[in-house]
Amino acid sequence: MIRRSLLLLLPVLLFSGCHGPSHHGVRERIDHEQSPDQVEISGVEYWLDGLRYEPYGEGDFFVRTRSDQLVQFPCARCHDQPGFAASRTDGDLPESAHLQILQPHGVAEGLACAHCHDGEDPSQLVGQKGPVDFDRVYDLCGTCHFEQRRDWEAGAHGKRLATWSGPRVIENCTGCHDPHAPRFETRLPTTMYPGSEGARR
Amino acid sequence: MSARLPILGQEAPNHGCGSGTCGCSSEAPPVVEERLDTDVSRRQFFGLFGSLTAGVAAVASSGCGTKSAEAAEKASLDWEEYFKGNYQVMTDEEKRATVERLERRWELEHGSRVEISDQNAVPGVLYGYAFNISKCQGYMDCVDACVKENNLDRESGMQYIRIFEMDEGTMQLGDGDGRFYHEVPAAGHFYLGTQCFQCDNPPCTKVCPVGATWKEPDGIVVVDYDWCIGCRYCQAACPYWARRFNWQEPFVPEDEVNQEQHYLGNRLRKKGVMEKCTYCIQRTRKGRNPACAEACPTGARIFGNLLDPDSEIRWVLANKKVFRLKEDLGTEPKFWYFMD
Repeated sequence: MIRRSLLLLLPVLLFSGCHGPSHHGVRERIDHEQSPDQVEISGVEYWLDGLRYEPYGEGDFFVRTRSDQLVQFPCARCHDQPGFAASRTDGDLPESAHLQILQPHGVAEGLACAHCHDGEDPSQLVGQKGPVDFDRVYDLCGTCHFEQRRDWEAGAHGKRLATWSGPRVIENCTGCHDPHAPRFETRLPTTMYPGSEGARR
Repeated sequence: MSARLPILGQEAPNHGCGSGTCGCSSEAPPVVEERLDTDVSRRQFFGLFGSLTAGVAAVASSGCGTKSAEAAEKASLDWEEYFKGNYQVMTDEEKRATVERLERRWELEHGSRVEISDQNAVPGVLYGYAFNISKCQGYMDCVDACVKENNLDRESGMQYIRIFEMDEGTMQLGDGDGRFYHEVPAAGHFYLGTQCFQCDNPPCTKVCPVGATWKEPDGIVVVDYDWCIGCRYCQAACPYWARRFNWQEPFVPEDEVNQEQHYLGNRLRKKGVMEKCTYCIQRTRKGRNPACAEACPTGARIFGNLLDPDSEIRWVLANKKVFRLKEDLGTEPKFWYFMD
C-alpha cells in the first residue's frame, strides 16, 4: 500500500516545481503573460495637467509643444537685417542672449543658419520640404538625425513625460537639446556619493 | 503565525494611571474574563488587552488630566500597531486600518498630514527598466530626485542609486568609480547607474527569516518596515548591493518630507530596518514615472510595463542590444542596460 502511494506521488514529484519563475527567464514570463489590452489606471491624466502637447502623425502619441516655451521670439525682433544680422545689439538686449549661436552645431560640417531658418524671416523654420512649425521641429532635426528620430518615435531616445501609462506624451527634440548647441553641457554633478572626494571637501 | 509573534516581554505603555490615587479603577473590566473563556489566539488576546488598556488609559487621562487625550490616543495607536500582522497577509480592510493609524500617528507627532497609500499592484503590470549607457552623462539628477522623493535619511546621506564612472572600452563594474565628483561627462568615460533591479528571482527575499520582504505581483520587491527585524541577511544575499540599512533613526527635515507616501514605499522608516528602491511604488502604481526617470535630463532612463507589447521598454528589449548585470546568477533582474 505504501509502495503504491509512493508510485502515485512520483509523477507529482517529477512535474512539480516547474511553474515558478526560478525555472524560466523573465523574458519567457513576459511572452507568456503579456496582453495587448492597455492597462488603465484611473486618474492618470491628472499628472499631465499643465503640459501642452499635440498629436504626432496619426495620433498614436503626443509631442510637447515648443512655441509656447520660446522666450526670445520672434527672432526678427533683433535679427532684422539681411543675413540674420541684428540691428539691436546694445542695451536693449541681454548681452549673452544666446552666445552659443556663435558656434552653432554643424558649422564644421557646412551647416549655416539658412539651412534651418527662412532667409527672409528667421522666425520661420524651413526644411527641405518647406516650412516647419516650431512644434514639429522633429521634422527638421530628423532630416539628418534619422536614426535618433526612429528611436525617439519608438521610445528608446528622448523622454516620456510624467507617466508610464495613459496617453504617451514625449519631449520634443528641442525640449532637451539646445538646437544651436545640442550636445549636453559639461558641469558638476547635482549631488554626490556621500563618501566621495567632493563630500569631504 | 504564532512563530512570528513578537517577543512579549514588553509591558503595556504606562499612561500614568493605576496608582489608585487618581480615583480611576485599574482593574480590568469583566469583559476580559468573558473573552478569555472563549478560544482566542495569542494575537487576538493581546489585541483585546491592548485596546482595553488604551481605553483605561484614555479614561484615566481625561479624568486625571495628567496626560492629554492625544497622548492616550497615540499610545493606543502604538499598541495596535505593535500587534498588527505582516502586510502580506493583511486583508484590504486591515491594510486601510494600519495606514490610517500611521497617518494619524504622524499627525499627532508632527502636526502635519501625510497621505500613506495602501494601493495594491495593478493587474496586468510587470514593471521593467532600461538604462541607456550611451546617454547617461553622470549628472546625478536621478540620485538627488530619489533622495527627496523617497524620504531618504539626510544625515547618513543614504542613496539608493549609484552612478559608476567607467573607462570607455571596459565592462568591469569593479573598476568603475562610484565616488567621482568633478565635471561630467569626463572624456574617455561612460556612466552606468545601479539600483535595486527588482529581480524576478530575488535571492534577498528567500533569506529573510521573518517574511518581511517579498516580491509583489507587479514585480516590485518590497520591505514591510514594521516586520523587519534588521538582521541584514537580505543585504548579504543581494549580489548587487542594492539594499540599505538604517543604522540610525533616519532624519528628514520636516519641510522636505514627501507627503505622498506608500506603506511599502517611501513612508518614514525607523532605526534598525532595511530599505531599498521600490521603483517609487507610491508613484508608479498611480501610473507615474519613477522620480529618477522623471529627473533624468538626458532621457537615459526608460520605465514601463513589460507585459504591454507596445511599451517603450518592450521596443528597447526587441530592438537594442541589451544586457543585465551578473546574468549568470539567474536572478533575472528586470533592469536592462543598452546602447544607442
